[in-house]
Amino acid sequence: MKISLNWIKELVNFNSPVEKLIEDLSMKGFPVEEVLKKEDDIIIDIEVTPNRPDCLGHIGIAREISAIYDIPLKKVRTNYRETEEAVENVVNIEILNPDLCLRYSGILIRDFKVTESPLWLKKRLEYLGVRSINVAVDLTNYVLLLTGHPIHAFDLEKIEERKILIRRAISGEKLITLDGVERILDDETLVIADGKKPLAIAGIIGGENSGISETTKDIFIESAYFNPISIRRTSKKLNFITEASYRFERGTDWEFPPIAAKICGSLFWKFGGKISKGVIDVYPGGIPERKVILRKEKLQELTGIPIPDSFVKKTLTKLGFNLTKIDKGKWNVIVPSRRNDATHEADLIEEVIRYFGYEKIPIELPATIESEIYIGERRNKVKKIREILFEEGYDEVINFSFINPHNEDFLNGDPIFLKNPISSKLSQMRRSLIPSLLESISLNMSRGIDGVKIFEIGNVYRKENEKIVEKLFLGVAASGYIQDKSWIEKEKFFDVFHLKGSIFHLLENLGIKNIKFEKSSENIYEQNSSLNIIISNEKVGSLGILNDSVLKKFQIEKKTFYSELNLDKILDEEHKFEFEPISRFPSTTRDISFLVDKKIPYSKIEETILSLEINELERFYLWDVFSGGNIPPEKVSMTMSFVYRSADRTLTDGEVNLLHMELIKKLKEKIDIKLR
Amino acid sequence: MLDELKEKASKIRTELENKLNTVKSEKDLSELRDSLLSRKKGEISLLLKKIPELPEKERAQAGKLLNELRDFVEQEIKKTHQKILEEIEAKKKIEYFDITLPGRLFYTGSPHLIRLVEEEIEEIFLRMGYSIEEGPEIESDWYNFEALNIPKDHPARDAQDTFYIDDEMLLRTHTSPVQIRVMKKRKPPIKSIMPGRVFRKDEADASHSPMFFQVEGLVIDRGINFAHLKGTLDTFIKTLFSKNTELRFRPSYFPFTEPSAEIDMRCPLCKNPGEECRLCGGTGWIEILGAGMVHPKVLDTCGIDWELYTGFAFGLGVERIAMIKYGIPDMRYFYENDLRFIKQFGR
Repeated sequence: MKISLNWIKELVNFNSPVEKLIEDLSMKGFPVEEVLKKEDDIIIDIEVTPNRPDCLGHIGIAREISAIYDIPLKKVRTNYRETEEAVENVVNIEILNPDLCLRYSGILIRDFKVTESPLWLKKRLEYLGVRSINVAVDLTNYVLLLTGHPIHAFDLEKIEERKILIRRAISGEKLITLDGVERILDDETLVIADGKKPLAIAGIIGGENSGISETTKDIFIESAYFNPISIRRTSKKLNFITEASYRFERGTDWEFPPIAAKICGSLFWKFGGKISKGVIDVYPGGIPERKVILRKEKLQELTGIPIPDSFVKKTLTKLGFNLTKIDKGKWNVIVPSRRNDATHEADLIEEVIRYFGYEKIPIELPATIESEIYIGERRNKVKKIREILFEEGYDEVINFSFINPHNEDFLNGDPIFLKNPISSKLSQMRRSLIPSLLESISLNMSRGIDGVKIFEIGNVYRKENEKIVEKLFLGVAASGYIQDKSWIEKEKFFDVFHLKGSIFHLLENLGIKNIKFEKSSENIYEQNSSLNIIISNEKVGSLGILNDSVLKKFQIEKKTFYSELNLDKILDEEHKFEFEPISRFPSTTRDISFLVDKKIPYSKIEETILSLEINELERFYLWDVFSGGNIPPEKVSMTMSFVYRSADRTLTDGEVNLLHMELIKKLKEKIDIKLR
Repeated sequence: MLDELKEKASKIRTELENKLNTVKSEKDLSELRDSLLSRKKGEISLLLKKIPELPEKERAQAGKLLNELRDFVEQEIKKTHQKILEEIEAKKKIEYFDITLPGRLFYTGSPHLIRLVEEEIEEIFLRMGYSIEEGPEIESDWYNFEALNIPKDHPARDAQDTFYIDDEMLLRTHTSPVQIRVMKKRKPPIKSIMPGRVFRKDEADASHSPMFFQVEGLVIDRGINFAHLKGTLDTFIKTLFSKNTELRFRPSYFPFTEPSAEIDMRCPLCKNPGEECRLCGGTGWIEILGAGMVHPKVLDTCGIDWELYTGFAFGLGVERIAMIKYGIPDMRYFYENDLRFIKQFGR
């Protein structure tokens, strides 16, 4: 909210330079956002938090400044000469919905000349961002900026039947508001109406039909208190905020309406208006005074250092609270009606500490220890996964959780949509990490980075059985160079076996045994180019070469490899480390080269060898694979090494031969291999 | 006989190319030469010795054939020898050793800066004995607002533009709902931090993003006071930045804490206050934390008695901290994921 320094000085006479004022206001809870130097004034833009609507006017700010510097506030004029005519004889007020309008006051001004405002008034308003319209409207805005209380002016002539009804609109009722827009009202909206028609949307904006023009002579001034929730709901529905609605929805002072009306009277009288006798004040409910008990021990408990009673009393009193001691260390505090925010003991403690000065409170560390020591197994495992991926050369990316639905239309399952997304390109919650990772690959390649190896750990969101479910996934994607060409080596390209190796390494390192890769077919991957990753007979993820149709959506031309793991499944499993004893005896290696039908997957050969359960077979590995040349086209040649070692003795050549021959024999039985 | 000879000759010719391809060294070549041309055992020499066994009229033809073959083989072997010599020379050139040539580079992957900074923050709190708690990103209105003393129709909701999925479910606008979850499931003493993704309906620009990361903290115990809040945050910031970092605690407002504070640190960029500064706008201070004593109403909602237990809570934006600490001018770098950005923060 913008305030004028000159105006403040009319209300509280302080001497400090502007810089000190700004510092002091900031340190009391009113940060200064901007300072604008005008030719004859300084305008300060203060952030007023939603809990302090009493400071949305110059008087409120002046009151804080008066408390900060211990300088008295100057009184604002409320006196004027009244005519003989009584206002209640002219206008009749009726509140039909006292839950929405709790108090309605007004005064009547006769014979007022509606002209242009004098320069000083225009300037004052315009410096604070309010447009000057005519002297009558300007004076009502002046009172709003001065007091923080919204005022509305009606042309008395336009009030039919001289009756003002504060009621809900009838569904379908129309009103052209002061901005020229025709609004169709519903019965949730509170209106100010006369005997025949609505005149204004209460607390928000007036109607054109009753507004002040140059021909207006007699003015009815409205000063009221409206239910904050009602004003806020209507304002949201109309998608329209005014200086008035902004203040009403934060909660104004319910004792202030008649006083604001009198301040108005005083100003209009100065400008030549004739004010009728009295202030109409319809106040059916009567809002009770708020009382809060403040205990010294609670204040001390929250603050951390002792604060003298005298300071408490002085501070709260100068802020307008009324204290009476009940007991030693206990006060009964009456909260002024303008302080809607002070409803609890904690709020009063805040006022005291705020004025005591946060900078005076010492610095200490608490000795709190939780009852259970935190281990953080899950987080540690995620950390491990990331470490391994970094070692393998993958970079970490983080993408938005919402994506373009078009980029995921190849997936199954119910997506979750945002009701109010920022754009249609970010309107659906991602069900998979694929679109995020491919976007990242696409962006980097478009910027000339030819080798992209990335991963992301993040939630994917799905609807399962009508419930919203979040799952933590790891997605790994790579495309292009694994290593650029250099003077010493040729360039190397990433391929699916790099990815497979990384995933295997990762799972192994987490202590997971029973890792199985099974051929799969999913529409995101190319035919015969994908695997399901299975742990303990449960699918935990997949891996493969992405399908061109998927890549095309992201303008990726190079072959791209992808793997994903459902981390929720992996992280929650207990993986105990088991030491494997090592044998001190030497090993012997035997090779075999054989031809096998291309249709037989290597996994079958591997499984077969493992199923033989040869104790002395320490390990075996494949080290040559080729086809073509002299080899029949339907066959492939493989060479494997078998390492034999016993845990308790050195195996003789004879023993190894026997084992090896037996292995070959069994292998030939189960799989049609031809030795070379 | 002659035909047999012709056949053998033809075979030697065709096999020669294959054999020459497998030759890798001068030694291999020499062995091959001997196998074909050695006077005693060379294949061609042996064939030549058989000529006297042929009928007279075939001898001339056979001789010519074999001599041509021998010449051909000699020539091919010579060519191969030349090639081998050249390779040896070329190799000598490579084996020429210049230590100033670039080293073999292998890059390990880099963490994302947000995770790096999150870890830095977590480390400090772990050392202070805090646990780390997480919660769902898609939350209910109750956990995200109402339980935090932000009723429906409250102006405080305007501060955080919310993404809605339907009338009740939304994308959490802060990690404070996790504090409610922790307080509901555990009894004090509580000492936790809650990191995580949060979402606000803000257009992406240099200092805003529709998705960003926060870390919040919560301490609830007997006798927790404002001095503890100051001490904790003072220690945290000085460890994260430097011992000489100047801090300022000033009163503020949050619906879920009372009293509330905002914590500023001295702008590391500004040389002179009042000058234009992209970080602090010339004020000399940058706001980095929000904090306060947990509001009694919030404690009450979670079944904790304010008469027995008090607590403080605080929150920060991870990107904000990262931008200050690492001098990054624009928030959009974080979600572009350009590897030239990400790789700058490798371990």
